[in-house]
Amino acid sequence: MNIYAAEYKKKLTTPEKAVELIKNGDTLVNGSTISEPPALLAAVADRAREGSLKDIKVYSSLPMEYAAKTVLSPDLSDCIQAYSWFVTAADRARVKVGLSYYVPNYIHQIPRLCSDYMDIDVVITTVSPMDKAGYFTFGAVNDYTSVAARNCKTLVVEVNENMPRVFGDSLLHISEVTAVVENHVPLLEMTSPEPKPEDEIIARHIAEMVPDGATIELGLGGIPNAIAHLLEGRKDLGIHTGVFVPVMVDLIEKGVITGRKKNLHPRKHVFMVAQGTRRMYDFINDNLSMESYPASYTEDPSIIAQNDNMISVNTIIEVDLTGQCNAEYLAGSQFSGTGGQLDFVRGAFNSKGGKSIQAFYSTAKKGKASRIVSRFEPGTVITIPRMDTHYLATEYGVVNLKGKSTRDRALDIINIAHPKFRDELLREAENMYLI
Amino acid sequence: MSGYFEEYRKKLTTPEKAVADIQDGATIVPGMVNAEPFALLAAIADRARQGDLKNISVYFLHPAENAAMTILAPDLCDCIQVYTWFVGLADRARVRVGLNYFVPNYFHQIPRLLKDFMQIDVTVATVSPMDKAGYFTFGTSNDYTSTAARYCRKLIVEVNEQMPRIFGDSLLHISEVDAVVENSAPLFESIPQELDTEDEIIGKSVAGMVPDGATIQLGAGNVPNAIAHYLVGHKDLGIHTELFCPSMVDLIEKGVVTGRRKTLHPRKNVFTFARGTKRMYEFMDNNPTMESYPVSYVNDPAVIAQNENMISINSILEVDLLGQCNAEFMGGYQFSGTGGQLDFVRGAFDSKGGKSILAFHSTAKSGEVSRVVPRFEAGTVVTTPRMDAQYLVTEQGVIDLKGKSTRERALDIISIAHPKFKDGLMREAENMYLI
Repeated sequence: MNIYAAEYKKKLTTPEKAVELIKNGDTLVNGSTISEPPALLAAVADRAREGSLKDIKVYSSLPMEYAAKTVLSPDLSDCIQAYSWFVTAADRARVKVGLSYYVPNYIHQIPRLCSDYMDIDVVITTVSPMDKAGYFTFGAVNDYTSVAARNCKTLVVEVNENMPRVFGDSLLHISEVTAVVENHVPLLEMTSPEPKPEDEIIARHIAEMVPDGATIELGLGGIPNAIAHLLEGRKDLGIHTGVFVPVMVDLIEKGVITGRKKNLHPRKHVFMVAQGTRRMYDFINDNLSMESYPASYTEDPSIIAQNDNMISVNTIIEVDLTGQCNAEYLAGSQFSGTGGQLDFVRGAFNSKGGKSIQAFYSTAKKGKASRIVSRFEPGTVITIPRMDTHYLATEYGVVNLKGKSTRDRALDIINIAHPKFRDELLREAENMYLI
Repeated sequence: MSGYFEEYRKKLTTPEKAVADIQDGATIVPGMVNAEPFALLAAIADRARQGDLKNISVYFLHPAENAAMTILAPDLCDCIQVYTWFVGLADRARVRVGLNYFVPNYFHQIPRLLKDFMQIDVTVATVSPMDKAGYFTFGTSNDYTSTAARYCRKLIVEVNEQMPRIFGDSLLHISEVDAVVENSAPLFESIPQELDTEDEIIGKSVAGMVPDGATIQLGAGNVPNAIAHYLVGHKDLGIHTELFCPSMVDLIEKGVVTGRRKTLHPRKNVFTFARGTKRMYEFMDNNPTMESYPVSYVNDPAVIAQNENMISINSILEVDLLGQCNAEFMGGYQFSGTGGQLDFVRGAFDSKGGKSILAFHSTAKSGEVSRVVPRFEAGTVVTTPRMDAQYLVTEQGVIDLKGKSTRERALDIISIAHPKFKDGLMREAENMYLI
C-alpha cells in the first residue's frame, strides 16, 4: 500500500462521524449540483433533526434534490439558514417567502466571495476516487467548489466512483482533506425538455451566426439543443462554456467540435460544471480533452474574451424597450439567478469576432403574455444592463442593439415581438417618447 | 521652414472652406467638451441654416457650450439629427421630447462603437498647436475623439493655442489631417459650488476609506471636491481617472499625489479628458507627468484593475432595497448617462485592495424625497447592477454589499437612509419578503 492509500485509510470514516466535525454556528458550503454529497447532507440533516446542531448557515448554488431532501427540509429551517447563489425548483418557494436568502452575485466572483468575504468553517462535496498519486478530482463540478475547498477549516469529501475523473485545474490532494467518506450512488442526470417548433426557428437564426472555427458556449434547453443539431455541418468548433451539456458530446463525436482553431486552450473542451446524462459523464471520465477550471477563470469576462470568435448563447425572461434584460426575476421574486450570463455577455462582446446572443420565445403563458414589454414592473431586477445587450433573437428574427439609439432600439425590439403585441408596444414607445 | 510646417500651411484654410465639402447624409463626430471646435461647428450650422446641408447625423458625448450655441439650435433640427452618448444641460430637454436620441453605452466601448458599429464621414476636433515634429495633441480630450479622428473619411482640426499640449497617447500627426483651421479661444471653465453639510460628512468618511499609496478616480461635483479636501493628510496617492479636475491639481501641488506607488504608469497622472479652470489647463500644458489615453484604455475595467488599491468614487441618483443603482434616469427620462461609472465600479472591485464607492446624499429635493427607495418606478434604467454594487456611502453611514444576501442588503441599505424614511422602508422590505 502506498503512502497515499495509507493516509486515505486513516481519513476514511462514516458520514455520521464525519459531520461531527461541524459545530454550532458554523458556516457550511456544499458542492453544487452534481457534486451535492448525498450521504454527508443526510448526516448533517440527521444531526440537525436530533437537535444537536444549531445556527448553521449553508451556502450553495443551484440546489438539487439531495439538498432539497435534507438541509432545505422545512422542519430544519429553525436550525439551518440556507443561502442561495442561484435559485432552482429546490429552493424557489423558500426564497419567495424569505425562508432561504438569495445572495446576488456574478458566478465568476463567487470564488472571491468565498475567499475574501466569508469565513467558511466546513466544505462538503463529492469527488472522484483517489488515484495513485493521491489525487481526487472535483469531477463534474469545479465552479466555486474547488475554491471553497481550499478556503475552509474542515474539508470532508464524499468519494463516488461514478464521478468522472477530470483534468484541467480540478485536482485535490488527500493531504488537503480532513475526512473521507465513500458513497457510490449514480450521479444526478439532467435532460433537456422536449423540443418545440419555435426552438428550431430561433435556432436557425443563431446557427447562421456561428462561423467555422468559432468557440461556443451553450446551456441546457430546447433552443441550445436545436442549435447544436443545426451546427452539424460546421468545421473545427471549440468549447469554452460554463455548463458542459450532452449535445456537445454529440458534436465532438461527429467531429464538428475539434477545438483545433481555439486560441486559448486549443484542442481542450473547457468547462466549469457538467450537467447531463450517464453517457455524458462516461465520456468526460478520464478524457484528456476535457478540462475544468474554477468559475473565477472560465467565467472571467477577460478570459472568455481571449477566445476569438466566441459565440455565447443564453436566454432571458423578458426585455424592455430600452434593451434591459431580466433573466432571473418573476412576479416580484427571485426565480433563478444571474449565474454566468453577464460574464459571457461581456466576454463574448470583447472577443475578436465574438457575439453574445439572448435567445428567447417572443411570448409566454401559451402566447398570452409578451416577453417584450414596454417597461418592467416596479422592483424588477436587471440581469443584463442595456449597455451590455448585444444580439436578441426570437422566432421573429435577430437584432443587434450595440451602438443603437433608444429610438432604433425600440423599433428593432418591437420588430422581434409577436405581431399581435406590436401595435400596443408601438403606442407605448410613443408615449415614452422613444419613437 | 520644415516640411511639416509647409504641409500645415498647405492644409490651413477657413472654417467655411473646411466644411464646404461635407455631403448631405454625412455622419459627423465632433471632439468632446473642450475639443468641441467652435469655428467649425458654427460653419456647419451656417451651411445648414442656408439650406445647404440635409440629413446630417451628429454624435456627441455630453454636448457642451460650443455645441449648444451652434449645432443644437432648435431651428436646425430638421436638417441635423443629434445623437448623444451622455445627456447634459445642453440637450436634456431635447432628449426628453425625442428631438435628440440617446445612445446607451459604456464609455470605454465608445471607441469600438465608432470603429465597428458606425461609419464616420467627418471628424472635427480642437487640438493643441503643431510642434516641430509635426504633431498636434488632443489636449484635454482624448476620450473617443482620438479614435474618431482615425476612423473617418475626413479629419478637420481646429488649432487652439490655448489647448494644452498633452503626453501619453495623445499625438496626432499633420499627415493624418485633411484640413486645418485656426481659432484661439479660452477653454470652458467649471466653477466649483459651495459645499454643504452632507458633502462634508461624506467627504470625510470616504477619505477615511482611502489608504496611503492608493490610486484614485474622482468624478465632477461637490462630493468629490469634499473628498479631495479631506485627502490633504494622505501620502503618495496616484491618479488613474476618467476626468481630470481642479481638486487633483491641488493634491499634486500639495505633494499628496505623487504617483510613486502606482502599479501601472507610476509617477504619471493618467486621465482621458479634463475639464476645470484656466489654472488647471496651464498646469497640464507641456507637463510630462500628465498623460492622456483613449477611453478604451483608461476606462477598460481590466486596465483599471491593474492599479492596486484603486479607489473609485462616483455618485448615483437612487438605490433600491436590492442594491440596484440608477445614476442616469429621472422622472421617466434620460437625465445623464452611464458614462464611466460601471467601468470604474468593475475595475476597482477587481483591483487588489481596490474599492468602488458610490457616494450620494440620502435625500433629494431639500430632504422631501428619499434617494433610498424600496423599488424603482416602472421603466427605470439600472446603471450599476446589484451584482456590481460594492460600497454605498451617504451622510448616514457606509455599507458594503458584496457577498451579502438580499435580507442583509435591505437592512444595510435602510441603515444609510435618512432616519425619517427608515420606518416606511422597513415596512416595504417586509412586504417584499426581504426581511
